[in-house]
Amino acid sequence: MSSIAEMAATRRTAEGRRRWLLKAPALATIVIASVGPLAVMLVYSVMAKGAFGGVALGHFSLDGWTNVFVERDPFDDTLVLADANLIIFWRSIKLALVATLATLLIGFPTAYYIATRPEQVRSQWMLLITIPFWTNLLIRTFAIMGLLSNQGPVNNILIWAGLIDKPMQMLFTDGAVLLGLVYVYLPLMVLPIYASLERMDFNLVEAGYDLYATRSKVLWHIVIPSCKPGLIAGSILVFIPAIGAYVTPRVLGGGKNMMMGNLIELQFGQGRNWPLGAALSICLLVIVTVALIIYIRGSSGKENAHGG
Amino acid sequence: MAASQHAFDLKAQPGFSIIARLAIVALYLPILILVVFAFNATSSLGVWGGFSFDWFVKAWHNDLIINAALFSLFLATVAGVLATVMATMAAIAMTRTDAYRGQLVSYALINQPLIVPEIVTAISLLIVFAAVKSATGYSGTGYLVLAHTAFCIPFAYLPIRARLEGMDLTLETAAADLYADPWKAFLHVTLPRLAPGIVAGFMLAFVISLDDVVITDLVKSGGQETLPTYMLGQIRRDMTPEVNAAATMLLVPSILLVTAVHLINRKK
Amino acid sequence: MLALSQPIQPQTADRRLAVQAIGLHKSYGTGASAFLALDDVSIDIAENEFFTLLGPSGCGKTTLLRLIAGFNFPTNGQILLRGKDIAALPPFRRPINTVFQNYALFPHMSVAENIGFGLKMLGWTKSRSVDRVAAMLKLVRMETLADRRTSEISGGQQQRVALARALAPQPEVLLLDEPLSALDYKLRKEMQVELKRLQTETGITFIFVTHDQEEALAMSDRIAVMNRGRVLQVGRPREIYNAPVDRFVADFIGESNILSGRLVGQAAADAHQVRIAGAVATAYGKAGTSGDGTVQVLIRPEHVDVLDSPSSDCIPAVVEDEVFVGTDTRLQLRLNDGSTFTARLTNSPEQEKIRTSGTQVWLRIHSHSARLLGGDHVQHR
Repeated sequence: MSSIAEMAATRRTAEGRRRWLLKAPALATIVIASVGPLAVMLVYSVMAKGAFGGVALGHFSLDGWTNVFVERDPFDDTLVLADANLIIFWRSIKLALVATLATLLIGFPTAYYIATRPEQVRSQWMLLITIPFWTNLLIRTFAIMGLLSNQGPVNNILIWAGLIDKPMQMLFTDGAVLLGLVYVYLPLMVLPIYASLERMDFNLVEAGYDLYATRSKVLWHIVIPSCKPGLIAGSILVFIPAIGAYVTPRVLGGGKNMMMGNLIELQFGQGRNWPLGAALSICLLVIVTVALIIYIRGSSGKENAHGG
Repeated sequence: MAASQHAFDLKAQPGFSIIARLAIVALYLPILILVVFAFNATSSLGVWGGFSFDWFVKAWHNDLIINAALFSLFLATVAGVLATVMATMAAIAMTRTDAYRGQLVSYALINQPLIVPEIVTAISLLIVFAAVKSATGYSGTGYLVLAHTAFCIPFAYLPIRARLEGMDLTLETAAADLYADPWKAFLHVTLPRLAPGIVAGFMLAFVISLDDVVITDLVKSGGQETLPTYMLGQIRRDMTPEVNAAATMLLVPSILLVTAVHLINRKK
Repeated sequence: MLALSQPIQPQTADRRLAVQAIGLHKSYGTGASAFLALDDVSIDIAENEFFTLLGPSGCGKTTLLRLIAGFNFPTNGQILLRGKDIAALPPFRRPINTVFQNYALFPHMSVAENIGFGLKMLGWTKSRSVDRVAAMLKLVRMETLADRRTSEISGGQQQRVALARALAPQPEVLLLDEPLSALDYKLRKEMQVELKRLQTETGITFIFVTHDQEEALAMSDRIAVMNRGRVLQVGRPREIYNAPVDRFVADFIGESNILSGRLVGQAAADAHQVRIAGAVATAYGKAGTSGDGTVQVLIRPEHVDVLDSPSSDCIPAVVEDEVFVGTDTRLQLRLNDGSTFTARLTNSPEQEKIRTSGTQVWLRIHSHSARLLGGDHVQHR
């Protein structure tokens, strides 16, 4: 009866080939225009820099990586800490963390409120959250810029109310960048928290009240632990794009209040230090990967862990 | 809440309703102000000087804006279609099969563009495309189409895959039982059932391509300005409500498409 | 064969065979984790027969159906359709249609489009197909709902559409995979009659899969009882009920009392004297004794009389419980060898006798109704 076994084998091979043919265009496109270039960048980070930008191909050098942390003093040729880079690193991490916390504090109550609405209006509320998420990020950043500019509505209202007599400089500060990040990424916090709250069994809340818990105790001991995966997912979804932000600090931070994204771009523009830019990109990628690993660890397995 | 005439609302938490309402207001107010000032009669972005369509008329007659808008639409359409076709094929290959070797790798690859910060992808594409450009001399729109297609694929893939996973496999079995060969079964049963997912996937890919600024800005060659890169280029200059008018023109299709996707998904 | 109320007819000799399964094996997985879903299954199904595959879930009946349909392929063995081997043909090349358990109606098509789908795939002309669809709608009494979406009709109506869709291309064999399991009790009874009518009217061979023994007994020309990937017995409903070959079949079909007895003598060619719980009875069938002379004897609950005074060759028993279930009264009894026995007595208003727990009674087994059972491990083809 080998014919039947052969038939089955042929069928499996044909099935496998068909599957590869179907996947090939998508995977090839992503390899060529996303994964492959990252590998090239890794190679560039260990090359010597070219005189007019670019790299000296074939000239191996770790300068790109050491330049992330130290730089050569132009006068006495000694190595000093690369303050500018480290300050920008620190600002990026700080702003991304604070933005994550702020979106969490606003996003959790919002998601909870929406999840406890009657079913018919819930999806309308969620549409209201989703629309800004899909709206052009640059336009939303522009909107914040318009709001905060010296001639903008906020300054005008403050002057009209007599609280200040000349426009306050709000734009091009860390605060403006932070506000922009919170504004732009808030929907990313609400969506996953809502998803996990929607799945939550509200009988648990009833059981909590039945067993003499107060509102705050129910919130702290029942609601928050049961939507922990959503809280973690939301935090990571905000933290990852925030730490890699480029448009928001460029528009709202001006030239001075850079984040890592701007620093990287600078090396390929005015800075003309491609190996450093490549090394900085990989540093950013590592931070994002670590955050993702924390997310995957947190969302799988320990869902039943007790909070508080 | 102690008042006996009010029933105890089990689900309520103090202050949450106010925060939620304020959050919605805060999400829309800046955009609303931006749109309102597109209709300002004066060139101020902070003081209301009366209603007018002047800035829209001006933007409409600004060749830079119109060409950028047309190029944005062209790019989003081409990349959206390519990404949707590829994502549909990949989703069909990758769902509703038994686990097989390489499945996880394929899945990670498809979603890879979602994870990497945009600026990093943009820079790495800049490096590679610069080399290709100097090697081949070609500097056409192919680079942008390729880059946009790549980062649109995961967005098109999501709703298509979700739709496929929710589909009853016995329907294809039934079609085969009723004399449909695999191609006819796909055409008459799978595809019509998958259509809403494909439409949603295309719309999302289209919006994502339309919205992109970072990758486009670094990959584009001369004369390949999209509306977002044009607007980004305007920051350093004295901004007028003309930019607001252009932004409003970009907002409208995005909002319409997202609302349409929402309605399609709700109908199932 | 005195135990049977009708003589057994030769099973297939006078009819042409529609489907033959020959030595079918189907295993899933390989090595130590391999699971044998079908283990050397051979069945002959005649043309124009209502044939039922009956067994508990996981017995292999659905696997066998899917092999015949072509959704799965056997690991080994042959499937013949009118003498031709079809084991390697894909489902869309087999003149066999299926009614699925969840109906699998195409939700994006109307009732009429669903019914016409197979015809369209076969390349029928529009006009010819329209006529056939109309005839099918009439056959299942759904004429008025032709343009409805399948989501807008009831479960029973969906069932009819599924039947019409599968019958429209006039298959040589119709496969039905537990098609009634999703319906409520009353509708199920109606559809049993309906299915039987359709089978008679169309003259198509039906192969019907169910785990419901009552359904199988009521509808089938013949039944194959399956367990653990094997066919234990093939026969007409009465034969299977009255003369089950082993303990599993006896237990699975109907209610049964299976008692241990000891052979004490031979009464006729296929009848033995058996001592059961202190009395001697005549049991029919082949005596599959284990080494020490004990045999298993099947007595159906309705095949005994319950007497209030001793009589010769009656089995003494003590009433433990009495349950009134409408048409019948069920007596739970204990025999003097410690085993339990259920007796079912038909109720009638005039002669209602209440027996309290502890009452001593005597059981008289109806003549020809005690059956000897083969051992559990006897192999059958």
